[in-house]
Amino acid sequence: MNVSPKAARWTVPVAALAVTGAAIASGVMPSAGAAPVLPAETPAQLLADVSSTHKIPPLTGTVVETTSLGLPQLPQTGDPTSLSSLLTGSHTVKVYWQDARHFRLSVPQSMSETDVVRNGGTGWLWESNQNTVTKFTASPPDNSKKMGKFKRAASQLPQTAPITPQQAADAVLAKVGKTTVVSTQSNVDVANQAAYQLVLAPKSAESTIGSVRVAVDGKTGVPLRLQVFPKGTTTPAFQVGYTSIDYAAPSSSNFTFTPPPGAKVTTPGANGAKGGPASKSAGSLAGAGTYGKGWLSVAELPASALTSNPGSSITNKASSPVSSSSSSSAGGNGSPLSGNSQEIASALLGSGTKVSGAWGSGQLVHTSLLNVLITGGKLYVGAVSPSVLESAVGHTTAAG
Amino acid sequence: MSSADVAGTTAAPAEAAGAGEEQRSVRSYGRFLRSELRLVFRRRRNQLLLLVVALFPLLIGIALKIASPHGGRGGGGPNNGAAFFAQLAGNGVFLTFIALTMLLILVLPVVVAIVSGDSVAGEAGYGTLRYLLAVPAGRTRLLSVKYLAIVCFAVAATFIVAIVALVTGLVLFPAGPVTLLSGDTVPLASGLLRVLYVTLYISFAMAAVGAIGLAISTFTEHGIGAIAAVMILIVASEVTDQVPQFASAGPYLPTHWWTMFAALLRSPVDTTTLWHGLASFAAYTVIFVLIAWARFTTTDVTS
Repeated sequence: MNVSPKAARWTVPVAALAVTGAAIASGVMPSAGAAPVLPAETPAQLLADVSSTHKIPPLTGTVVETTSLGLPQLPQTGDPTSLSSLLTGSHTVKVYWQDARHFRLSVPQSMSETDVVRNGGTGWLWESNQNTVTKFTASPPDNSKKMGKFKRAASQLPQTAPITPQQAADAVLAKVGKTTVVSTQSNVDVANQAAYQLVLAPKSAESTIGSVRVAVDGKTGVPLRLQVFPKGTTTPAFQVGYTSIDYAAPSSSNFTFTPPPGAKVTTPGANGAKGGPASKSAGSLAGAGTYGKGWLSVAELPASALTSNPGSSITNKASSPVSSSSSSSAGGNGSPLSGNSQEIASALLGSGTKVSGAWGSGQLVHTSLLNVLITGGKLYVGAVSPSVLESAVGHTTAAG
Repeated sequence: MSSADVAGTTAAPAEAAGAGEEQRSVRSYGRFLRSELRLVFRRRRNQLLLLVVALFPLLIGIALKIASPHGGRGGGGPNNGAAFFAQLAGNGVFLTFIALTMLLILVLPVVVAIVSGDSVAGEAGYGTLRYLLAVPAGRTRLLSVKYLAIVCFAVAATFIVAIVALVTGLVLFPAGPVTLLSGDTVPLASGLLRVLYVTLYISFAMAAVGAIGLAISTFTEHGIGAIAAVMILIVASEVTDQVPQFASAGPYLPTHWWTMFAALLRSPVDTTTLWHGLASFAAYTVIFVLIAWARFTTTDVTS
């Protein structure tokens, strides 16, 4: 037998492998073209574009949120909406958006799904894991704060972090003021859309945030991506952005929802907590508080929220079967540490270092973005230097 | 796909010779395939495998009926299939999804691994491969017949699971509109159509396993070695897929997209995930069939 035809045969599978590799690479790699050209806009104009009052056109898209705080390896529960996945992982939200009163957000998980559906005056939260439906009846329409309403309804999703770039941008823009340096950067391509880049940076040296970059669609003004860069790094610790977006009105069938037979339907009081199905009390953790404002705000949480089990969010009810009597999700979307899990707590504590000062002593957990101080049965969380956390001890004001 | 054209130009002279009388060659190919299918499906061991595969959904159905998970969750983890288990009490159709999910972890891949891993290596081991090659059909043809038979077996095994589970489910549990993962309810007929799609999707996944098995099978004369190698590969892939540190490699693993059939149970159907899965299966199939081809057409068959 000849050697060369043998070798020639082997080039065929190798070629197939190469073609597959190339196909994967072209799909995975971002098109590293030149920055797209868009008419020049000032930072102020961009700020107006992304402000809350701006109307979001109908769209269908996929949002991927990635958090890499550089935490120690947290125990994985396998539930993508659990706290540990929220702090380390990446997840996907499908967005079907008609207007502020008609939208659907679905969070697909391996063998389950969580959906938030809003159809006119009625909203639904469907959790297939629990086979539960929570029905919300919206207050009379107010036209001024469409985005606020969107945010409110969307925050009912079992997610403590902002789930769409719009929400994330809203949360950040709320902080813009004298303490912020606003600038622009070269245009980028996000989800095949040419986008401006708005850069917000805190002036304070006490903040651990280097900058927040918001990619704003050049045509529609929709925030397409938000990235939070810790000081001195070029990789975002938190990122939420569209991976695909299509400005076509989604089918209206996406907004109709009928609770499936056999599902447990709960209807929280009209003025009631935006918490989970079992919410008995108001939607805030007992003992929670805040300190400071803007970039330097610190959230205070009872450490019992980490070590024992009260006040678990609906998310964590799904992941830990123990907490049957949970109250509700912690209001606000600032701190990702509103849920709990015994293992996560011990993993976090284990990675901490002992600190002490005039305020007392405790454990400091340092991540690439957030610092967490655990002392005296309280937990102080913020994207701030440890000294700010220390000064917050005992000086917080109770929240909600 | 362009690589297939290359394959045509560099093909062995043996098959070029038969290219003349197309009609006759097609008929003889059909005969060849039929005889191989007879060989696979008449083999007592393979029939036993199909029987075992058929028993599983029956047992699962009976066990779940006895356990009768009304209200509470039917054991297991809180997320893996819990939604299905909860749904089963109200709808027998879900037994199909439960059975397929459970068998997909090990039983179905093992069955396909046995048949595919043994396909060429077994014949080499028994010393019958030499006689097969004496048939004036060409090695490429022989290999394609072998692979088609494996695919038929994989599809048969998957459909047996689905059908037995469906019948068991409909007998033991009530039937009715199907609640999708998205919380939308579709009529029973539409639900059954989704069962069919899920079964086809998994069949495709198993066909890809068959391609891997065929490739490994061409490298050895010991059928059991090839079977073990496929199983180790599958289990290793499943374990790797569970390790968070390897999350970025996950989508490229052969087993990663298997359970993504859940995309078919959403509303609207998550076509992106579905196409990714099918593309992954297709890539594995093409690459490993070509590896098998390159190996089988160049190796010296001595036994």
